[in-house]
Amino acid sequence: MSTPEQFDADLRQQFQQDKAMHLMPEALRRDILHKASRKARTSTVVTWRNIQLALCCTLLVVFSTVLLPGRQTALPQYYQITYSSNSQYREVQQHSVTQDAQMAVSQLQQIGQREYMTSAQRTMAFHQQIGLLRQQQQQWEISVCDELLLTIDKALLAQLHLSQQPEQFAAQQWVEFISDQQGQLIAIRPATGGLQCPKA
Amino acid sequence: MALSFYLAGWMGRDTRQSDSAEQLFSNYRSSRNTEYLAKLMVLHGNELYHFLLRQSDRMLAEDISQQCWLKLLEQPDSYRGLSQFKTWLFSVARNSLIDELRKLKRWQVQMETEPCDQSAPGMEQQLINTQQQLMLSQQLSLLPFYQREALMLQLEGFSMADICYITQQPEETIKSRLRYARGFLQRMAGGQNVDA
Repeated sequence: MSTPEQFDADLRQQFQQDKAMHLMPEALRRDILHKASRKARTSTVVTWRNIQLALCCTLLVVFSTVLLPGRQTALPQYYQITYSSNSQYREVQQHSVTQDAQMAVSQLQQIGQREYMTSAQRTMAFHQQIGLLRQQQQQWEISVCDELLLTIDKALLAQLHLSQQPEQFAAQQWVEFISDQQGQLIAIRPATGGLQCPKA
Repeated sequence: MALSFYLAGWMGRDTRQSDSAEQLFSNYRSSRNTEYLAKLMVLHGNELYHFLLRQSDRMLAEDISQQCWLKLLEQPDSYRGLSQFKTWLFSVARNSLIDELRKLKRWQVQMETEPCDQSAPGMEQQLINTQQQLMLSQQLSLLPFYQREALMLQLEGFSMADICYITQQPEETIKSRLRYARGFLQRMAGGQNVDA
């Protein structure tokens, strides 16, 4: 018969002896460590592959943003007409390009010009007028007596169909200008004769 | 504990003097150097294997041991430093073992023996008489799974709180299992019943 304390001490001693007699097999230990080494090597390879992939992606992004900035950052420009009037002209139209969610000017111009050029005769869809062109620092102005004043900014001018280079136009001369149904300018060319405006 | 565990990973990698399991694991996780894993296995490999061996058999003990250590390799973040490394390791091993026993349809067999049949003194006396000299391992094998588990964890040096953490059981349940297990073994040894 043993006391609980004695029993407990014996139990612990036997437990330690039993544990010492049943150690983890060396083969198992080696196997686990072998798998760990292999896993570490695989992990290194995968990490290196991921780094390479990340570098390639980064280079691609840098290439596309730095070397091809125009294609990524330049937003398309759109035709805008602002209508107003003043004491001198019954109607003032400011034609300019701006950034908007409509069709690009170049596209509009191409479509309009193609329709105009291919039509056998000028229809009511296109409006042809004669006016006096005056070149200003930042824009052109075309006035039709005291009825209409068009201002055309330089950015828009660069995209319009002109019969000749802008610099070949005189600082002041009669021109024929054509607008489409929306009032957007399609073409400007020198006119042979001027307007006879009624005196106010 | 969790904070100190993560800090140890930053600050203690080169501190060769500190070879606690938590430190070793932290170093292993940040470096993947198998040298740290080998040291961890020296620290706790035998204890874990012995625990599993007494709760199952040699083949399962080897399988589950391997599973546990490989889990460290594959999911190093599964240990978050919320408990001692050894406690966490035994907890993982214990859950893996129960899962495996269920897969092998051996869990039901283990459970059927519980609770310890205290109402059969004749049979117990017979066991005492015939197996007086049984080795501890054989005596342990006569205990139901949960009682053996609680006793082995206590003999392994785990505190009551650690045993509760590993087994996910309340303290009263663990105390009860320990009382039954010790009582049974003491009667087997022919000593006074600790319940008395």
